[in-house]
Amino acid sequence: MEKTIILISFLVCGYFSTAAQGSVIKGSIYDKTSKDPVVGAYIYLDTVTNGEISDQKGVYEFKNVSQGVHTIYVKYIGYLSQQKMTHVRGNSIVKINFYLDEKTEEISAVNVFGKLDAASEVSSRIAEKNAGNITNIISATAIERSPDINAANVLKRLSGITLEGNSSSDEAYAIIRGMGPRYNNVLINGIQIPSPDEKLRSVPLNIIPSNLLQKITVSKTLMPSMEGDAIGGTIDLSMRNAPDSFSVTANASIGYSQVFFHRRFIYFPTKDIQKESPLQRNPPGYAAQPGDFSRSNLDFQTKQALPNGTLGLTFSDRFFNKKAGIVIADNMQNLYLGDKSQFAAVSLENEFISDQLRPIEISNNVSSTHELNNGLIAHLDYELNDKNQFNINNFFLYTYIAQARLSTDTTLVGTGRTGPGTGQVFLNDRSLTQKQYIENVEISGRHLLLNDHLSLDWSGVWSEAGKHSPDRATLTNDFLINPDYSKTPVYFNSIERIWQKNNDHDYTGRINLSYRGKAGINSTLELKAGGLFRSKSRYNLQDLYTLRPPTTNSNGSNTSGKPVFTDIYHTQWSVFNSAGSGIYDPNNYRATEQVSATYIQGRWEISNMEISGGVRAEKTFQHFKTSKQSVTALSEEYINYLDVLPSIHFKYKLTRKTNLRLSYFKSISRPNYYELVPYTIRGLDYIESGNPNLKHAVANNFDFRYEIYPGGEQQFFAGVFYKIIQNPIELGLVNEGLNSGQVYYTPENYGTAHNYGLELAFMKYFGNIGFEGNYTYTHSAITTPKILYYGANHDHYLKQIDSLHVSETRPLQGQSDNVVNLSLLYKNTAAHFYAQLSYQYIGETLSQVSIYYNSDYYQQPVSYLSLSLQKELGAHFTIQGKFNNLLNSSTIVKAQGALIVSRYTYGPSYQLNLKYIF
Amino acid sequence: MKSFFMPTPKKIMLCVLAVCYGAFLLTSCSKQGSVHLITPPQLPANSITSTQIKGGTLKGVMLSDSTYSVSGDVTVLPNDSLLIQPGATIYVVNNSAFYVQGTIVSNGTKDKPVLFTSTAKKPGDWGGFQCDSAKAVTFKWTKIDWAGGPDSTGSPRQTITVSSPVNVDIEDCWLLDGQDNGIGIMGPAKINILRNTIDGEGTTDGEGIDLHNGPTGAIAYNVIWGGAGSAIKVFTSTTLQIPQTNVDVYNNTVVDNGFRRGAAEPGRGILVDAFATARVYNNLIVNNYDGLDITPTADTATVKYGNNYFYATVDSLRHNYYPAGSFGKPQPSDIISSASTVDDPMFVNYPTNPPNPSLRVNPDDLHLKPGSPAFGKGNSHYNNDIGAYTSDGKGNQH
Repeated sequence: MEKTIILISFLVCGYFSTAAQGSVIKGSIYDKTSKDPVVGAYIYLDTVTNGEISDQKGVYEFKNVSQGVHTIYVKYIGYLSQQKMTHVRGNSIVKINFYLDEKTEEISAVNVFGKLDAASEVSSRIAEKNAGNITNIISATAIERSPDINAANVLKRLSGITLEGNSSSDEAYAIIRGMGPRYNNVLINGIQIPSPDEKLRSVPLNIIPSNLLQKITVSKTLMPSMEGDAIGGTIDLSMRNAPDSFSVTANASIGYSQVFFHRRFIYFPTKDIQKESPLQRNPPGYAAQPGDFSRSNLDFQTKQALPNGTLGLTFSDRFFNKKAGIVIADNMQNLYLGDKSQFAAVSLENEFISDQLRPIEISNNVSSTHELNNGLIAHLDYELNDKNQFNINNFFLYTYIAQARLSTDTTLVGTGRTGPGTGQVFLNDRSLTQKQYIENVEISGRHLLLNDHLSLDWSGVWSEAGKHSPDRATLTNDFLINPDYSKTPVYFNSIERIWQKNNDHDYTGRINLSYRGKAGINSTLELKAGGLFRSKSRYNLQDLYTLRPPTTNSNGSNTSGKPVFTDIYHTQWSVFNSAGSGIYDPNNYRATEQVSATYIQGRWEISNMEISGGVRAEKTFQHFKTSKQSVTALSEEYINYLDVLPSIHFKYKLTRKTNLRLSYFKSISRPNYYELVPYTIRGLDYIESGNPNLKHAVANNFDFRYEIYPGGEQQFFAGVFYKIIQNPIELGLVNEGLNSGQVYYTPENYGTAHNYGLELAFMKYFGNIGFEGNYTYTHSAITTPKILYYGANHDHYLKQIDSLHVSETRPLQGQSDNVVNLSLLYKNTAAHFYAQLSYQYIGETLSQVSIYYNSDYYQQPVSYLSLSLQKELGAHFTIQGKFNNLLNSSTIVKAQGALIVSRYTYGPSYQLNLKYIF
Repeated sequence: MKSFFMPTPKKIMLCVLAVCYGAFLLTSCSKQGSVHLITPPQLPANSITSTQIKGGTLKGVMLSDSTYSVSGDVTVLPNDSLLIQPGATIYVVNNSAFYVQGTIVSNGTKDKPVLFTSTAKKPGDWGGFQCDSAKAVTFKWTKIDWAGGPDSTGSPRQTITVSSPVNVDIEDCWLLDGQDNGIGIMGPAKINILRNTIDGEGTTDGEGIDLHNGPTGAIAYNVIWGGAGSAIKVFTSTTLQIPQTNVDVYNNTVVDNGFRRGAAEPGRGILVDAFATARVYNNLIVNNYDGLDITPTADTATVKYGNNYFYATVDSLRHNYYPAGSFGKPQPSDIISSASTVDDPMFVNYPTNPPNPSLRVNPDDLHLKPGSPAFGKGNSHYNNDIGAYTSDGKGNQH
């Protein structure tokens, strides 16, 4: 963070600009087909040296133009050049617009430094079309116009992508073509970033403000030059880059969540929260005292929610003869979110008779979250000359949340319940504050050698991510509703306090060398080789305290049991584990991981055929260490393995605008860190444990795709895919035989999974009206053991493992069968108006795997509708309205077709955005 | 498109390359490499040579009439055993516990009981016997006081717990003032829990004897007094209903249990719940928050019960002999007192009347006076008498 601030102040101080007067020639440059402004085109007046670049709205302007006849030339990669003549009189303003025709032929593969505005949708289509592998790209232009406010929202509009919620139910992790977050990786500017999560590898995408993005590239097939741990695909987030001209953009928005029209916002004072646990802030051997724990953060209060606000500022310029470029962008979101959810714990009604489930406990939760996101990027580049370029990128994401969650658990099956409306009720009130961050600093360079035929690029990256969640406090009280519906008093049961902190940091170095040249008359050849080394270390620290009613009261005599709860300020407690759990907590671990990779890759284009591929070798070395749970327990391990990952991609150009592609690649998925840690947590019915013998998953992937690029933003493609995944990792119960008494719930490798499906996508404009859509069908299958008492089962086709277990085939966790995205676009370039109505349908999704046969939890099909409107007001202002979740869709999860396991509702939200472009 | 399929030298070369590459693809592999698990060094267990035991792995014999001090966690390895001879006294401090993966035999006698205790004499002073994966567990004539201190995750520990499918014999022992469950059997062990006295278990939670996930055997002639939760809980699981808990619960005297956990979660004298089955006979059930609760989720088709004796000195408790919502109903063979003056079981001395949950040490003498209505009213398959102190001398010896 400090580094970033220094960088900004240095650059801001160094910047100054000049103004000019006289006759003026100005105008806009548009794409002839799409009527979109063309950003970054090179416009020059009479001589090539006297030029400038069209700005973010496609606008150019020449000041101080002398009287007489002038010729204006426009050149832009991917378009045919144009020129127009004009006669300028003294002190006048001449307006000349250009409508550029797209060049149908490709950008030559030999051309290394092509300048194409990466922010536009047109450039996205060109990049998708020209890529050697299968990609989907969404541009900044499309992101700005969409109703989306973070990277997760944006991604789910791409074909084959759905999102999975994090622990607080925000859509955070991407599922690509039915492959869960563990099978995908997230890159920033091409380099993997660490996860702020204490257990997972996945990077939450909901904390990345969409305003900072230049584009998102999703690669569904891998080239050897790409990191190999992606079976579903790779999501590459490109941060804003320096354009060729001065630009300042500011935007501010205000919004509201409809939830808070109906209820108040629940909050708790945060001022007394101790940053460190009693164990951490005292000398070793300290015994925690009741007074060491604050009370006010369990004092829940309500207020009217404030409006949501976002504020963003982007500054960019080039100076020193346009050799140096700078971008500084900051985006801040201050959000008040609310949701309502219901969860049912279910179990078998009677395992001896049938596999029928029933709810045994219902918990109703209401939560309110104050979320503060800040994303800051700083980019500095220096073009020493045409052949040597250097970049520094810094990127810092910070999220703070304060979340109050009040939950009421009603026991449906158990002692004390005599009928509906009676029984034990547990009240769990939780306050949580959490800081999460990801930072990344990259220094890179690119050099052209040997007459531009050889290009060398390198980068060194330091990145860090983590989470700090001090004093997550949960107060549990209970009462009983008697058979006559009278209630007992509310008793104070216990309080749990957890201090959690984790950190992950990486050092990555990467180097690529590529050669591009002609290989005969109709053929070009690109050869590329390179390597990567990343060294990671991470830790998680957790310290837990249980506060219970005291055993003796103030006069030293024994208490008579649980006291009645009045309020948090008058509750007496004793610290049950006064030493804390910190020293032996099974959640604590340290891990290191070194990945070294080398590859060689070729791309050979001969007449209509392009073949690319090669081979990558990745060596993984890991070390895990956890605190020793007992003298005989494992607490440390070393793992190493080598993967050789070949790939080959054929692209056949049927016509200039259509491609046929066939791809094969091999890739891997490494287990989540905590899954490998040899921990055990003893639960009531089974032991939750890590699996140090867990193997990484290896997949053979096949893709076939037909593509049409009619020009502009338009596209159509249809494809099929097939993946064979060895050793996919799924959670399951392991029983050491029927009467062992030790049942483990642990991540396991379950043989081989098969995943296949098809994808369709299109985008077509009819005049001002556009239709965009995509459809993905995915089928996956894996067979795992499930509990089914064989005496209760009459299906002779089931494969029986023992008298209590059968094999069941099901989809992979997180997989949706049908996903549809449809958008209706209206674009009136003359009126500077743009509208997008977006519909999304997500079919049945396997959300959680049950331990019982025929009992998996499926998220029910759900539809979402959102709307965004954009109107440019004059040259500098754009006003936008973003209206999300207009159908007030609920996420409902069911088991066995009818039993509702959970229901989650967060309500519509509205946002009004004002953008200023200097 | 047509032109592409016309052979030229370049295309032939391309095809050759493609074929070679294809062959490479088929032979390339992912090597699983190595996984090196660092097993902690297993030094041979220390034989007991000193009366000051600082913790670590331990095996051997604690000698008769000797006094030991244990100041660190002790582990008995899977192939080792720990034998405690009659009359040994062991003081356990620093919240230490015995982790038994092998065999433990505590061999007290009526004249020379073994004593495990703390120095501070407060509930939760030490961690008890954690025998999750033990090979065999035997406690005879052993006093175990003040256990139940928290484990590394902050959860309370049971005074004696076993999860593995082994023989568990706990006979003629005294368990006093643990912080949580007295005896917790959490797996399909074969149990004989006979003639024990369990007093004042649980500060705000915890049962006297808690069975989960499939134990089988007998719980008989125990006297269980003043626990926070239920005196005897027979439970399989709502999530893992097999293996089933299946026990005989007979001739126990359960008095004054179930108050300290609060009226929202009160304890029972005897609870049969969650797919468990039991035969519940000849128990003397006095002044518990609830009496005998056989819930509708128990394996009601196979549960059998009768000849139980219900008595209360507090009028409100009399409604709870078979609590509302229970599957269990009064049986003709039961003795059901309708007032404190009717069918008094005639304890030798019963000063905790009405029950006082703040008491942790039992001042009562729950032997029966001659002429008690409990004599001769038992189910003779188990015993002719009701309660733990029977006239045939087979009952509780304390």
